[in-house]
Amino acid sequence: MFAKILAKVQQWDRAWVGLSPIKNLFSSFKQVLPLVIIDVYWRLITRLFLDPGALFATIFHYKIHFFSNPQFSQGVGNVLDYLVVAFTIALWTKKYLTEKLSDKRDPILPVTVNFGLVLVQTFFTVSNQGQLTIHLGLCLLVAYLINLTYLALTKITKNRLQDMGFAYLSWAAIVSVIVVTITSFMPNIVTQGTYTTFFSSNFFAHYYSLALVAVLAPIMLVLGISIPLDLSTSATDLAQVNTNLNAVYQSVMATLPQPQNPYSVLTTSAMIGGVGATLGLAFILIFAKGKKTRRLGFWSLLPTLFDSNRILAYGVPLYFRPLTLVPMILSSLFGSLSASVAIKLDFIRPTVFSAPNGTPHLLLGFMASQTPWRSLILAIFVLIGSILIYWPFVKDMVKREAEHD
Amino acid sequence: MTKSTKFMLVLTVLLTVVIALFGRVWMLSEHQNDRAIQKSRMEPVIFVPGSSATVRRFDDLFATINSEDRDKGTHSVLKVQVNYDGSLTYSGHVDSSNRRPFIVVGFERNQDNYPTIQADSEALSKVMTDLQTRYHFRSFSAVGHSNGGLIWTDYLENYYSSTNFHIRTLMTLGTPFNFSETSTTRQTTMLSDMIDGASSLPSDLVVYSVAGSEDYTDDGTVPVQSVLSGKYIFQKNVAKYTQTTVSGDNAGHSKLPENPEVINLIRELVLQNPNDGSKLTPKKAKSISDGFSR
Repeated sequence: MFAKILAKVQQWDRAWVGLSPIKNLFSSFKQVLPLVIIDVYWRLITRLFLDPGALFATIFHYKIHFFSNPQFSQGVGNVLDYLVVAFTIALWTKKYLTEKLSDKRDPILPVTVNFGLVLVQTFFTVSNQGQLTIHLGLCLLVAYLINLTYLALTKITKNRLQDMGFAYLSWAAIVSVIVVTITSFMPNIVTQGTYTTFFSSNFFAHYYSLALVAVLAPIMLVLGISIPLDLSTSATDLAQVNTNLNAVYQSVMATLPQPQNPYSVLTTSAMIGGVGATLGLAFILIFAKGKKTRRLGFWSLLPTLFDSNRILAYGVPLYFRPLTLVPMILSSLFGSLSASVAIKLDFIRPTVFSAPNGTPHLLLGFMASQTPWRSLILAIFVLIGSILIYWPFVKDMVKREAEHD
Repeated sequence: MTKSTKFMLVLTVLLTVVIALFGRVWMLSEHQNDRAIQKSRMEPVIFVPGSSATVRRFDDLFATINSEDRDKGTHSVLKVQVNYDGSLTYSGHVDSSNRRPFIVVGFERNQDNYPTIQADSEALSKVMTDLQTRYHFRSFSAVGHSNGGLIWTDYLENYYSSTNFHIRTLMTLGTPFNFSETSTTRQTTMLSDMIDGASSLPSDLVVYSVAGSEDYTDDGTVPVQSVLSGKYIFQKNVAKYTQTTVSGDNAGHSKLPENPEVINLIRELVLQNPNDGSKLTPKKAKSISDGFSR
């Protein structure tokens, strides 16, 4: 049964990857990977060592004066983020249109338009609260539609117009105005990073609703939609967590009013290594025989330990990939159900305290719950489980890569 | 296994172990402190004197209250001086069994100008953190004489965090919210700034502004109109704002803290104030979202 499902998924994956826009997109992901690595490591180093609220700065009580204003490090990170998305879209546009157009035509205009419009979209997400979210999937959708209009114009005019002639420049102007107008009217709900009131509702205090989120989160990531921070760094702002904390402060071993909540179940167990519990995947890759795959595992292991799986998302890739979506959902679900059952059976007490910023989810239970060692055992159990879940799905990919090398 | 793989694995394990060990130790100490703060019943009254005044500014006031209220138990007195170099000098003590101890925070740099008030309010935020670490209180009331009221206002607008503290009452005594301006139509930069920042004031705060009046226009130093300008800052931004004027022999600016009416007001409105504010929420540990989600 499982073998049949696996074979079916692999078959879909091969057909999907063979599609022209997807093939070109994955190729673009690979090309921007070095920039993604720089971006991810910059964020990792600032989050662990440099920023005033960095993990090591908090634990060891030091402060680096040059980085006393976190806006500098965040600003650099933002620029790198913008460039990653903009270069991905520009490269994708170039590859896709080059394949679709005749040899004589130069796609420099749509490439430039898409590059610029991605930057516009990202700038629109900056607010006085800092940089909000960038949805890669949305940027790709807009770029794809723009590419289709460019191809339609070329087809209608029977490929007779000059690359930078009046008609194409007018097309560029019209498309830009439309995208900028739509972007400026985009509701805040699309770009805000947190949905605290929503996730604080009682609905998210049950194992089934948390399991639902555990399934939906990997799907959102694979579609290039940003995951709300309420499931990771801002989880401690949720009402359920505060209610529990209040109870613990009144009486150390109090029965917690809402033991099952996004922080104690999802952040602590379902997101070890980021959305889709991808730390297990990074461990598989670092032991791969193929040089390229092993190198990907090498660069992604440390960031994934600290729950940033962007290197994997661009490198494997995880974005728009059915083959990895299935184990991501299964690992996430496995993590959330394991935590829910462990809490229900009183094997562990829920994660309740706020850990310093940057604490790996792997250690969250150990550091911020009242049953540190049992929570650590659960985290290792979930990690091993995720490795076993990922292995059958990616082993073919890893083997193919090794043979290719 | 290649060397690079081994290196990365060792680094990963090493980092995990270091973070687990030191992080756990940090968490234990941090949350013991948080718990102590949360459970603390101590609610000090913190006094800040005005310009050119020392930490001894309220000595007569404390002596009067402690002698008159002896049957209800005296208030222990702690004095903290912020020196020019930012260091703190403590004198006196806080009796841990004392629910309403008095704490005076004085500043060596205490000139009568706006930059000094801003610098002192920043220093006050450091003193508050230090006091909380030492005495584990969360709720407190504040009294500011003259520019001390300005320092409190600037602190509440720019440095106060309701996740760490809960201020119940602020009483200002002869505080010149518009410096020496006698007209409310001419606003000083400080008053404009404070009006602009008023939305940051705690919404559950109760404020009493006391003015002294020797000759219907001022208390000998501060124009009554300047004290009344406080309404532009507090009204509609805090839970309750009350303005009172005292007159008589001891209504001069520097004598306000010893004025019997003022002492009664402090006793009734600050020490016996039933304002419990909103339900306390636990202090949250330093959860700093880097605000990124990709």
